[in-house]
Amino acid sequence: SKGLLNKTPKDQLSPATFYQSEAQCKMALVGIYNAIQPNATPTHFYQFEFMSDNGYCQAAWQGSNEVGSWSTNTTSWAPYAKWTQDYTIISRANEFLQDIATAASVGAAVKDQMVAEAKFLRAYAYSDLITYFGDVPLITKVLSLSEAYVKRTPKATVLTQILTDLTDAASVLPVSYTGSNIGRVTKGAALAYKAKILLHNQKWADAAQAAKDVIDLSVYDLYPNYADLFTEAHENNQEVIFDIQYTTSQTQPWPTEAFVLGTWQTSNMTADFINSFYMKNGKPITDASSGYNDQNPYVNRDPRLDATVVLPGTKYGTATFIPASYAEYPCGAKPRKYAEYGTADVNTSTLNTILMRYADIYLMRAEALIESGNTSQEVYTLIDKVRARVGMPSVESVEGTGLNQSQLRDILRHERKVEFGVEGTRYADILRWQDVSLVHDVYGYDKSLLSDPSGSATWTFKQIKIAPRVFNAAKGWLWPIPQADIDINKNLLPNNPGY
Amino acid sequence: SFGQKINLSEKNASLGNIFKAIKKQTGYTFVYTESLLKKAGKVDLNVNEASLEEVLTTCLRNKPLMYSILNKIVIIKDKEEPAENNIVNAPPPPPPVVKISGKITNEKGEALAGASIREKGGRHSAVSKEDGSFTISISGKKAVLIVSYIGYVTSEIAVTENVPVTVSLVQTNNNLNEFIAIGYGTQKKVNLTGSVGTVNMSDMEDRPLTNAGLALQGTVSGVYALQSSGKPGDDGAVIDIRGVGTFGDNSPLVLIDGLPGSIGDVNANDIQSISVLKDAASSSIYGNRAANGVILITTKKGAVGKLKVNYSAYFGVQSPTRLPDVLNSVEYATLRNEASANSGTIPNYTAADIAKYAAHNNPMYPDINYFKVYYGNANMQSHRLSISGGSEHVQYAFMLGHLDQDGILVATNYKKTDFRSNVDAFFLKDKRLRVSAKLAGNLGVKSEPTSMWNATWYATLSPVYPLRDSAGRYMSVNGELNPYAEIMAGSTAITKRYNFNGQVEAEYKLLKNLSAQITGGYNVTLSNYNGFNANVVLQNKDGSTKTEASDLSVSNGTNIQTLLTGLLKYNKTFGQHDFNILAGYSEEEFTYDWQSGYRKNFVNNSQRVLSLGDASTQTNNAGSYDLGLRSLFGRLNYTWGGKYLFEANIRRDGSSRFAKGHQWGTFPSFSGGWIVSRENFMKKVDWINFLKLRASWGQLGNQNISTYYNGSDILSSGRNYSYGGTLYSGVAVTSLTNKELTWETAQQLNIGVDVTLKHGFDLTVDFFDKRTKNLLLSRPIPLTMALSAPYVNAGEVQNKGIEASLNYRKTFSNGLKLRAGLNVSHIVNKITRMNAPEQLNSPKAIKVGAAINSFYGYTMDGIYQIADFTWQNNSDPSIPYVSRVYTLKPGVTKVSNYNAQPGDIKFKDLNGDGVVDMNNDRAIIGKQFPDINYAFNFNLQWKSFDLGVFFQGVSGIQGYFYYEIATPFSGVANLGSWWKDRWTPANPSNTMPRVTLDETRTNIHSTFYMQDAAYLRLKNIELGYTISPKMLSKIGISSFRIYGNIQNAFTISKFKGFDPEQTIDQTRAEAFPQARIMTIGLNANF
Repeated sequence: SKGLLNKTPKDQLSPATFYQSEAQCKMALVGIYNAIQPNATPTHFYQFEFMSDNGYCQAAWQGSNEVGSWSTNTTSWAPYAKWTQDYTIISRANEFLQDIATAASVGAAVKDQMVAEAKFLRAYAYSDLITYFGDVPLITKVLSLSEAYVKRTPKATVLTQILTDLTDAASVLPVSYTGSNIGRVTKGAALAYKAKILLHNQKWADAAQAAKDVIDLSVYDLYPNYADLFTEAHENNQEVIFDIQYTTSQTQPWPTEAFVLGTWQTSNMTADFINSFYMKNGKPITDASSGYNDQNPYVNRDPRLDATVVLPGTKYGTATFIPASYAEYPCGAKPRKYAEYGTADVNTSTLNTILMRYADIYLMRAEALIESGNTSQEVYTLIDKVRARVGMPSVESVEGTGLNQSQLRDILRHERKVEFGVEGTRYADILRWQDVSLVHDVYGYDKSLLSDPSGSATWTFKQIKIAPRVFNAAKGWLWPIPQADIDINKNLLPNNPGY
Repeated sequence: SFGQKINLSEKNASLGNIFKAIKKQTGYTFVYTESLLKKAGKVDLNVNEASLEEVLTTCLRNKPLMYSILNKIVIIKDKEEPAENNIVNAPPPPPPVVKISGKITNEKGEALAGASIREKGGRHSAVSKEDGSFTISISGKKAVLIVSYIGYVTSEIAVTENVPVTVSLVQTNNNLNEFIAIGYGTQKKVNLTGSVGTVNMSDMEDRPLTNAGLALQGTVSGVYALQSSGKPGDDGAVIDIRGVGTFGDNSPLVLIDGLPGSIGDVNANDIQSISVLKDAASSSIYGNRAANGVILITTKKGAVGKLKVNYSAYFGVQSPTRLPDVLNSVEYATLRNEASANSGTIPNYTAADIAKYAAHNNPMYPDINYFKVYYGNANMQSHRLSISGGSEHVQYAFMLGHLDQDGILVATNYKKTDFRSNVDAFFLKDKRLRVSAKLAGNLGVKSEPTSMWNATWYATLSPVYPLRDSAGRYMSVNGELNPYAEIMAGSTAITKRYNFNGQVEAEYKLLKNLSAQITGGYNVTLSNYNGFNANVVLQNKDGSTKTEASDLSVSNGTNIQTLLTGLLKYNKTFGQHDFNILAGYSEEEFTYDWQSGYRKNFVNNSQRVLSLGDASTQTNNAGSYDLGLRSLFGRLNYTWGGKYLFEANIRRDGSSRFAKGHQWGTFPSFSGGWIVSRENFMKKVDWINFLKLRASWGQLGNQNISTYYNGSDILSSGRNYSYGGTLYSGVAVTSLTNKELTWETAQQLNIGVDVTLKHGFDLTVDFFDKRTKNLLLSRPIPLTMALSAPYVNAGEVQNKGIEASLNYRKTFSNGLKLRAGLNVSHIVNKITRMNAPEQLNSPKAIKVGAAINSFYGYTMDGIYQIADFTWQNNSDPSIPYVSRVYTLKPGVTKVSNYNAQPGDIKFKDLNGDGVVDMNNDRAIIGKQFPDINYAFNFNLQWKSFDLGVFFQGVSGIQGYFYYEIATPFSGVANLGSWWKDRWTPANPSNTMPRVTLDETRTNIHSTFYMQDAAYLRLKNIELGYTISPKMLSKIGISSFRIYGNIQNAFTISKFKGFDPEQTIDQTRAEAFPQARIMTIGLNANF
């Protein structure tokens, strides 16, 4: 037959003849969003939790344990997964930005908005990269293979590109969407990520301003019920600025259901994390006047503790959590936030993963102000708003006023810990603060004393060391460029110190 | 006595040509050997209306030859002492002293007509009749008869007066007059110039070969056939002919009666012959897909004669050849606690827990060898029926078979029903037109656990996990799965595969020497997958339950392949010159389409039909691909004087896979042969019966890569995302294309020799040098591109080797028959050049100078011992081990990724900088292809008994074995029992490290996880008994044999994992083990 040697793809499209309509351009844009979903378990948010001092994973082979114990190396899975995911977002964004330029039949306004979304996603990926890897290759166009053996670009140059993209995006994007467009990037998201990356790079004044710009949009508010914020029934509420959207046929990869299971990804919450929640009166449990009883430790605590952690002896679904039953929970506590206990189908979850929410805007602005030396009332007000939502007393009422920068910094950092527990952001916060004291041994409950199924009244709560965690000063605060890429592209050498 | 009259006028003609002419005029067939005719020299002949006897007598006058006629067969033989059946120059026979009678048969008990029977040292001789019977006079009451027949080993047998004898002759291996299937035709073995191996299918007949590819294991030198697993329906062989010459699919082209197909689609019992075309010259006529060699399978055809019926059956039991020896619960818990201590974490098991495991009386504290849960013995049976026969104008063969095989893994089963029908019909005057129709089909139904991964993985589960609670209910493992419970509830996948192929071929003789042939072929494979996950309720340890919702995935695929071939064949003989010319055109087209659907939450666990799932959960998907190949080719064969042989091939191939401008390639090949033994100077060398030297050189193209449309840029679909609960289709560029890509070229030089020695030895030796250039390789690109790698023409691989096969046959005078064969090949695989970057990944790398996909990693150099360290208080020995803070002594090699502790593996510091690191200290540590591949078979037949033994082995090969079982505490897996010898302060091993939970240590790729995978295996042993035909003839059975057979009987190997025979990419421990199969069977001819 004539066409025997003249075959073209039957079930795939050709980029040469695509981009003929708005709908086609949107398909290509969706292709970029597709890449923000986790590409492997180590890029799922809950893995980041047990790399931090909030959590612990007892099983070794996920790679997260290496990162958590600060013994990350060039073949660890987490750096590889993050590196490839971020560059996939970047590669698709670059391809999109190149190709849409020639989409003649698409109106300028539509095109501009899509370009803005693509630029945001590219900036989002680069922000992640410089936070974890420092200097990374800056690629802003579609490369040929001969151009692909890239070198690392100084972090400051990458940051400039990120800020340009985010500023461009913020100037074009709408403040909100409705219906089946909810979840697309908004002006608020662009400004919020701008605040975050500026904060990570010690640009305090600019970060504070970016956060204020979000507040000034007046489209966001804290969601009144903290526990509901992380449930499917209350998705897309007024607190969500940017999230990963899931639906029936596009479900979470490696679902958060892992929290429910007691399997290899088992998330443990550490005793250190549990202990950091204040009493309802706003006092730390170490305060003799707090009313804390170490043999009845969960009464009168910050309500976020119960919303975040399945504590020994508490219910999850219909079962009562008895730590001794599970070898996989050496710490004796597991996550509740985001865990969909009682769901019928454990292998799929359509619960969105919130990447940026309004509480973070308050706390980012507060942090930027504190770090820039501003200890004004606004700092208190910002933190108080977050505390007030869960009924915790104001900073002023517990700690008093006139606190210095260091005191406020401690309060702010503590607030972030209890507010964002389990959400996978703690690890990046530690990288930003570079506080060696936050890398320490893992403590949990002695499970064997929490075994009597008749009830917690007979239990003894004793905290013991579960595993060592030692900061490796040689490796510092950066992850290594993955060996798999160095094996292909030697231009990426030298690697970060210590690797 | 002979009706037909002969007219002939020939001058200085060879007897062979005269016989051909006589055959044409009379229809009589001649039986002779070339060497006999050589003795006769040339003949002048001029006869008119002469009888056959007159012509033969004239021809053989004054020649050392004589003839005999039996029905329509003329047998030419050495002139001997006058014999009673001798017609030529027959003097009056001497008075017979004693007469004995008997029958001559082949190995299968079929009558052999025209065999020559002679008394050793005596004067008498006889020729067997059509039913194989003979009568001969012998000179005493006892004598030794010498029975000979062309193509069979001459046999001597002691006889006694009045005792009828049955002599069954054994075929010679190197049956030089045998026709061997070659590309688009056949060739006398004697005239082959290329390297072609054949499989003696009669040895295979009663082996329980569930896949025809297994017939190639150890039977053809230079062919490495490896059984991929013991899983029913997926137990085919991975076949490498002369090494691995490509990074892509290295499997050879398989032609079943000329139609490309899968070797699994032909039943081993239906096969008449298998030819393996190994060198470039032999396979070049199939060039566009022949770079990895060609396997030509010819199925059984009908023959002129009475209806023949064959029934065979076997029944067998399979069991795993080997399963790793693993720890029991107490050992596991003890080692786990030790690993926790070594990693600084708290122990998982208290002393009370361990005591409970030891007590063996609490189902929550079990001691379960999960291999025994998931694996066990399995039954199988096979039945075959075949019918063949034909008249002069129509010949037919029909075959029908059924296999039912349970697998050694729980819930695995394979049922296959197949048929094949071969009909050849001849039409017009002189049968000028031949029309052949070949139809075959099979339905395979494969059942297996829906998640094979989970089933084989959880078979490695630690013994401490309870399977059931005290009430007998299934438990979840860690609150998650219990694949065994799921399988028991019906979580199985059923794949139905329907294959149908047919071809119609017509050959018409345009002229005496010229014929045209056209073949149309069609092969369709439909597959229908139904994978169900049952609704299962599991008990959790805390008393809660875990419900897994049911779901069903179905898919249908249609794979269609069409073939159109046109050939012109011309042959001409004049004087000493013999020409064969072939010109051809072929086109092949492939299409593949699939659709799939999915739903969840089914009404029950037994009705696994999509419509009974929850409609709101449904999803579907589809794909569609096509490919076209077009070729023009020609072949010239030239023979001079039956001694000098020459062949040339040229072909031009196009593939739609490449971009325009890069689609076509041209590939030539040449070969020559010299039959030295036919030279006059060899006549005196009487210990050599036959000697041929061969040489060939040629190039072949390969275009087989995993992408269909390399020439097109692609926006991949399915990159979806949802906004506000609405799913949107997304597309993205996900791969980098290389439009310059073109054919990979396999160039091969072959030099060979074939020798037949007088005393029954046949030896064939070939040396080859195969270089694959412009290698098609997926070239890794920087990860920052975030695109899948493009194919490039990347470099060159060399496979250099030598292969030899030696066969021996002997029949002893007491009737004992011996047949033995040995074949050995040695192949060196080496990447000689790379145009693309090397791929230095662990555990497998692509590196210049090393074999393809060699193992790459650190080299273990013992274990760090306490003496390598200092610790507190100037290494105070009284400090307990657990309290010591170890510091490496200066000069001791460090590891870059962690601080080595006593008991950790020590690696070789290759660059001598004192630190072992990934960029400087990894090296090629082993390879996945054997240096030497060998097989030995040995067959004995005595009276009614026969015994066959077949050993097969490989050496110089490594296997890689890590994660489950091999790596300490990998997920939920158990550990191999060899970990009991781990390093401890009290057991300062220098080969086994301490146990830790630290993956930074345990996941390092090194020689520690690599093992010697050499093995020697008794692949098959078979004992058979043939019931005397006399007893059977009364009930209409012409032959009946029963036998017992053990496949994979035993294996000698140092390999610690599953079976050492595992696919080359297998590096984890969830292999499906090979099966030992014990069968009993019968084979009856009616």
